[in-house]
Amino acid sequence: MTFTDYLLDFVFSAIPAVVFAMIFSTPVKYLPYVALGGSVAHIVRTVCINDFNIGIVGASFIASITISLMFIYLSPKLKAPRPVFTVASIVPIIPGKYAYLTLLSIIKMQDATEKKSSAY
Amino acid sequence: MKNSEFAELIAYIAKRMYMCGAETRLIVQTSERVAKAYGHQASVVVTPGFIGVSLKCPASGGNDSEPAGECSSFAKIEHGGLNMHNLVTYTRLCREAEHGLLTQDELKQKLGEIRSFPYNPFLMIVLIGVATASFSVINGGDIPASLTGLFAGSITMAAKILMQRYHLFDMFIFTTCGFVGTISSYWIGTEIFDLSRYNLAVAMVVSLLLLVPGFPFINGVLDLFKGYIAMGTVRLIHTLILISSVSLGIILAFSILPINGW
Repeated sequence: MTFTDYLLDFVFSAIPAVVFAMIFSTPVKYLPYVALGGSVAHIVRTVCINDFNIGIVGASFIASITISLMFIYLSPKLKAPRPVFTVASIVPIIPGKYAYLTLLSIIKMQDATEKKSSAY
Repeated sequence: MKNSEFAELIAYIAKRMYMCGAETRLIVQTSERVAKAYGHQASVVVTPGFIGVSLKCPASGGNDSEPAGECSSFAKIEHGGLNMHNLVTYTRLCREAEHGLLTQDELKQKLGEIRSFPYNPFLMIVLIGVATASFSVINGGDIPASLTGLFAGSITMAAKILMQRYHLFDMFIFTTCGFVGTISSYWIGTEIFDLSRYNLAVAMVVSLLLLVPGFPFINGVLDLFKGYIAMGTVRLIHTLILISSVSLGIILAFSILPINGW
């Protein structure tokens, strides 16, 4: 990935984090920090996957650790509980497709089992 | 303030923090620290149904003089909307109380004055659409897929806000939003933008990503790893129910649409 790709990644991954924080009425003065957290999380995961060839699980783990350490340092200075920042910041790295796919696959597997048994 | 009233106040603080979406350890530690700031020793227990506070009170003088003793209070947990603004305000007031800037009566008065701070719903609908489009970009979708996500995400969020205004059942809201999001993203992606298979899949997934229950899931895992097994398990089961509701909505949509999956 080029520098421009990383820059676009940095900008576009801040927006979902900020909007997710706004859904839960996060005060406006904390939104820039949430944006920074979302961008850092996604960039760290992207760098781990593309440049260091770490799998998605390991890359997400490293990104989560980075965000946690960042806000363990920042949240006492901002005088706000840490989950206000960290939960919204890791939203860009949530692979939501796999969560839904897991449940859909379980249901399809159950459906396939029932069809097989009804064939007898 | 009488010791029994103070015990009720501590239970109220813990209950409100739970309703705002705080993790169990934050609730317990904050409540116990506030009690300690006023010379009491509190034990706070958070269960899935109620919060219990047991106070060991020192002897007090003045008009409300009471001997040293113990008192307890319970607060039934009500499920309210997660609100980070209120959570920040509660922790700020508790910090001020800990630093001796507020009396017990002032603390109670200020806690009662806290009001919710929701953003404008129309602004949220537009911003959700923008966030969904951004999700599409970072997941490899092209511009038409992002525009599909923008419109479908806005429609899904509008449906969610409308149903929440009528205080409908949570699972019903998530199922309906999953259904509406899938149908609208498919219709917009195929009829208006004529997306390829991959981009259509990206658009259909990202329109639902903001339905993922982030706070209950993360609070559940935090509770599990910090020793509050019961609370963590309850929160994770709640998360599983919400994700299942969205998946049910998606399956209902796929049963109508001429495609089998993503």
